[in-house]
This record gives sequence, C-alpha cells and structure tokens, in this order.
Amino acid sequence: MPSRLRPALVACVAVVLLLVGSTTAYAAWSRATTAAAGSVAGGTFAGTVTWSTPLNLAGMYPGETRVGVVQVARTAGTNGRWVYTVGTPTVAVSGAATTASTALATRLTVTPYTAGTFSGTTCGGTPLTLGAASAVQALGSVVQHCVAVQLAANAPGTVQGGAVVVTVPVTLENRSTN
Amino acid sequence: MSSLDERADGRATAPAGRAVRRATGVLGVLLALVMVGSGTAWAWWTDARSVNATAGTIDIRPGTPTCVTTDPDASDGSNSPATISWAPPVVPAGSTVTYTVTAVPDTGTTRTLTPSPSTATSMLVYPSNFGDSTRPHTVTVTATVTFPGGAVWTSPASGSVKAQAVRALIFWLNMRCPA
Repeated sequence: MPSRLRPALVACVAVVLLLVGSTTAYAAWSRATTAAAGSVAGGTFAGTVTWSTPLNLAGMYPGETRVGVVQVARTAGTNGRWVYTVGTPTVAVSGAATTASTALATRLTVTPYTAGTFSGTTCGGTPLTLGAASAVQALGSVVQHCVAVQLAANAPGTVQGGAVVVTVPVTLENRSTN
Repeated sequence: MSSLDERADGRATAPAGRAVRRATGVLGVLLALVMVGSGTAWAWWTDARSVNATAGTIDIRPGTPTCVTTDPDASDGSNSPATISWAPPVVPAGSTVTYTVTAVPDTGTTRTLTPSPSTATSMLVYPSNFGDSTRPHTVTVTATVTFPGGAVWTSPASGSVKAQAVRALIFWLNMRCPA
C-alpha cells in the first residue's frame, strides 16, 4: 500500500470504531417503549375550473371579439401551498377535419386576462402571463379571469362553415411547504 | 528515490484511484435516485384541468327563395313575369349585402339573372331572363357581404325554387312556378 494512503486508512478505521462503540454505549443506556398509533391520512387539494360566464363563440364574423370568464376555485384541501397556472390556450378542429375548420383554427386569437371583469367585448386588466404560477391561494378562494376570443378581421370566406374547439388549460398544484 | 521505486509506487496507487472513482460513481447514482424520487413525488400533487368552447362562423346564406306568378291567367298579349324573393341573412351592423340570382335549366345554359348583383331582396323574372327558354329552371341566390372590418365573404348558394316560362298563346310566354 502506498505510504501516503496509510494515514487516511487509519483515520477511516478510527471513525468506524468510534461510531460502533458509540452505538453500543447508547444501547446500554436506552429503554424501548411504544406510543399509541394515530391515524395518517394523505392531504387533498380539491379545486374546480369552470366558466362563470360561458364563452359563446357561435356565428362569429370577421373582426368580432367575444368574451367569457373562467373561474378557478380552491374548494378543499389541507396542507401545502395551493397555486394554479393558466397555460397557453389552444384552438383545434372539432370533429372531422375540413378545409373550413382547418382555416378557421388559424384565424382565432385567444387571450386570457388578469381581471375577471369585462365591458361589452373588452376584458378588464391586462393580458395574463401564461405559464406563470399564481400567488398561493387560501382555502375557499375563488379567482376569475376574463378570456377574449377574436376572429381575425381579414379572415377569408373559406372559413365559413368551419367548427373548432377553443381550450384554456389550467394546472392546479399543491406545493410542499418546505 | 530510484526509478524502480517510482514505478512500483505508481502501480500501487492505481487501485486506490479506481476505488475513488467507483465511490464517486456510487454517490452519483444515489444522488440521481433521490432527485428522481423527489420529482415523482412532486408530480403526484398536480392536476391538469381545462375549459372549452366550440367556435363557428356566421351563416350569411340568404333564405330559400320563393316564386310567385304575377299573372296566372295572363292573356293580355304580353309576357308575364314571376316574382322571386328571399329573406336576407342576419349580418352585423355596418355590413353591406348584395345578391346574385342564378338560374340553372335542366338542360342548357346557366344564367345569372339581372340585375345582379343587387341590394334588393326580390326581382321580377321574365321569360327573356331565361333566354325565352321554356325549360324548367332551378333558381338560387348567393349573398356577398362586406363586413365592417373590410372582409368580403360570398355565401354558399341558398336553397332553391323552380321557375319556368310557359307558352300561353302563339307568341306569348308567361312565367310559372312549378312545384
């Protein structure tokens, strides 16, 4: 064995002996007993995501804007830090793909806003930062966000008869308190 | 130290170096397992939700046209017309709408009836509009809408109605609306 490794080996052996000896000494001074078992239950973070003001997008014409309000509610839960994140909305063809539906899907703009209010077809607040977690929500809290959908003013006539589905994704999270 | 001693010393340190590398590798694997486990536990506490809405476009087709004979028993020595009329589509305020009326015979030439395009929601159709053809014609209407934002859409053809010029006296033709 190289001479320079011998001190390290001696130190390791000494540490191991110290730990073993300490454990043995501890055992001579311990006494075992039992505590009454308690119940252990997993936490919950129930929440709902719904339209509080339904978004009606039937019969849209070029340049038109329609609004609705999505509501995120923390309905139950115990421990943890409860937050939610609004993701990027999507527009997808509804049912069988047609030329009109495919064209329509590219002509709709969906914008969630920070506020849950609107006047006419204008949402209050400012466009929401998508993908960013909200502040921690207390039990029983309800938060609303206005969502505006606009058909492009220059949408061509080829979108007539198209049908698409607009989706606003929301992720609920219960984060560790550590 | 002689060169022989140095070479011996080098060979002796190689096993120790390998041991250190192995220990480092084991620690790395343990650390990776701990991190993966933590990540998995974190994923169990998220829930993906969404709200949806179905979108569709405005229907700018005119209503199915109707045909009314102007003078069913015409014998006044002139060609009698029929009135073709239709309901306008519901469009947003500020839009302009014009109509084009098309007549397709069971055989022969398709015709665009004049005046077309027009903003009127009805028109008189004379035998001359059919080129004095006595063949039955299928009549439809399309709308062209200019929206407030400037977009221009042309609708699909409306439902249809039949019209036909029928010879009354030797020289005269009267429009009829066959079922």
